[in-house]
Amino acid sequence: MASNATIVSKQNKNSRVLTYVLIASLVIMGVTVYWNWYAPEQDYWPQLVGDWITIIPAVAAAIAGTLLLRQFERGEKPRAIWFWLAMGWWAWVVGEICSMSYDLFKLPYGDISVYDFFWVVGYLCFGLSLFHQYRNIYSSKRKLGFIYFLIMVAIVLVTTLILTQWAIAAGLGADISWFALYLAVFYPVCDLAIGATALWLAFLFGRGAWGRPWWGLIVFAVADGINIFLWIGGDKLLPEKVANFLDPLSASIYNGGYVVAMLGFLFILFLTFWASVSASGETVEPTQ
Amino acid sequence: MAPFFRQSIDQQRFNGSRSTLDSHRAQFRQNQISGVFEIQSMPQEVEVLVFGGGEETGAYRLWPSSHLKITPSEIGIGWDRQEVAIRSVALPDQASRALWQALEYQTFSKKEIAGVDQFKVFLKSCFSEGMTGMVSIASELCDGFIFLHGGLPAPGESIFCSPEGFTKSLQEAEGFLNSTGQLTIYKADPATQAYQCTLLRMSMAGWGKRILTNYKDMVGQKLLHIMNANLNAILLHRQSNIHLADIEIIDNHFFHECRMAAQAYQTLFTDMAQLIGRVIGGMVTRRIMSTTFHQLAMSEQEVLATNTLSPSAFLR
Repeated sequence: MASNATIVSKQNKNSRVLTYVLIASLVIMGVTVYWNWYAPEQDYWPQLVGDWITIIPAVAAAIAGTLLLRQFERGEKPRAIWFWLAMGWWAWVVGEICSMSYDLFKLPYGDISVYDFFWVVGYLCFGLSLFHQYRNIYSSKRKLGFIYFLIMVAIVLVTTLILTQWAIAAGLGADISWFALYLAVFYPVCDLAIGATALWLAFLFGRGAWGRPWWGLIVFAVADGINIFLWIGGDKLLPEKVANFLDPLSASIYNGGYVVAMLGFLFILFLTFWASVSASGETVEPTQ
Repeated sequence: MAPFFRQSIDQQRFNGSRSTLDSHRAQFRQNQISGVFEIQSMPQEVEVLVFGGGEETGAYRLWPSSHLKITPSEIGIGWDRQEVAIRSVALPDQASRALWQALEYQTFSKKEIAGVDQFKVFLKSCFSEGMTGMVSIASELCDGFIFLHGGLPAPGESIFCSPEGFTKSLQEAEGFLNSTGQLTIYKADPATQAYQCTLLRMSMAGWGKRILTNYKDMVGQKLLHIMNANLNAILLHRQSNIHLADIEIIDNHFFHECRMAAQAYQTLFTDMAQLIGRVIGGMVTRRIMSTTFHQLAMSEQEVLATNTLSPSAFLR
């Protein structure tokens, strides 16, 4: 049985770790913001530094997600939620590393690249994670079968198809293949679908710690939303200064998505760490 | 003499006058003890005074085949001697509560049984009759009470005392029920606080179990465990004999009025909702409370709602 002193020391350690993590997050975000605005205008190494600035928080988010996953035993319902969410982040980590490798080895970016595979896998994993979370909330009323997930996937694919045809009709993507354009439209559609679903979860969970890992997906949706706006020609509607501001802003928010996801995982993780030291009835007060 | 919980180790037998009895009663009150005084006031009459957490919750006159509720101040009136045989037993809250509950009802019948097998046959007959009430069992090595609700033993509402101590498990007690014993059947009286408190307790425990099951499904064992630890610490601080064990709310507190029980349960559910809300947020918490409430039987919902224990009480 853990003594009160052990619990207090564990809580102190947890809050120390959380402080270090918060400081590290601020440093990462500071470097990100600085680099996105003030990186030297050269082709090779500034690009690589930018890649690493993205990979570090991505790995941190995936590790935090995996640590949280390990707090749940096989067969426990929340395990599926965190399994797929952690897998999603790992898929994106591999995608980021692939992207960095293209820059490192100066490989030409084709219409479709290897990392596209990992982005798509990541989106699928996030979708599955969200599906399990919704099923966990609403299953007491009715059993949400896997068929609902397939229907959602079908809706996303058909919406992407419609928008791709609309983009072609609007003269967008004339220099890339049909499939590359389909994929380019697929990402924002997924961002919108996943971001909106995550936003709904964030509202549902309110101030509860359980909703925080989803904030990362919302931040990504915002970053990609700005990107898409610029991509579809929004930059032409704005003064040049504003358009020039939005581009690095979007890149910084993108990295912020990883940081927010990592912090969200850690909030729940610390709650479960305290549980493991409270053996039988000791006072263990989670603070928010 | 000594009709209840004869195997209890925490008992005293003495001959005493009314003033001796009064000083012992004062000790029970001061130390907030639950238990019972059995006073052999006349050869065929025993006066019984039940204590719950230091309060005199009920007084009764017992005769071989019936009993009568009296006021605690009537104890000692009509003794046939200056000094009488007195037995005082300090009991766990739930044992004292079960005894009080039984004596608040009227004796329905008495029955001899030859062992566990006959006892089981008796329980089967209660099931087929759908009996609701208290059954007192007194055998050589074990005695106790079972509350039957619609013919079935209500979970957590049985208590037995054997040489090994108190247990709530009939299976554990069965080993001591092999000798001849006597059953006293008390039919539940819906008008009594004892019955209403029991229904409220069972409904509260049923609702709580559903809430905790939902919460466990949503966040897993570890976060349920930390919530239990927090809530148990709060309950301990309030000197409440209620605790959480996994998905069960175990109420061993001796509430002799529904009003007091409802107040304690409302505080408990408010604290529970707050702790759950910290993890899954207020909206989902309220949703769980509301959904699980409506999954209860209508009779349980009515009991809870009558005692201001409905989800609307927590929708803040």
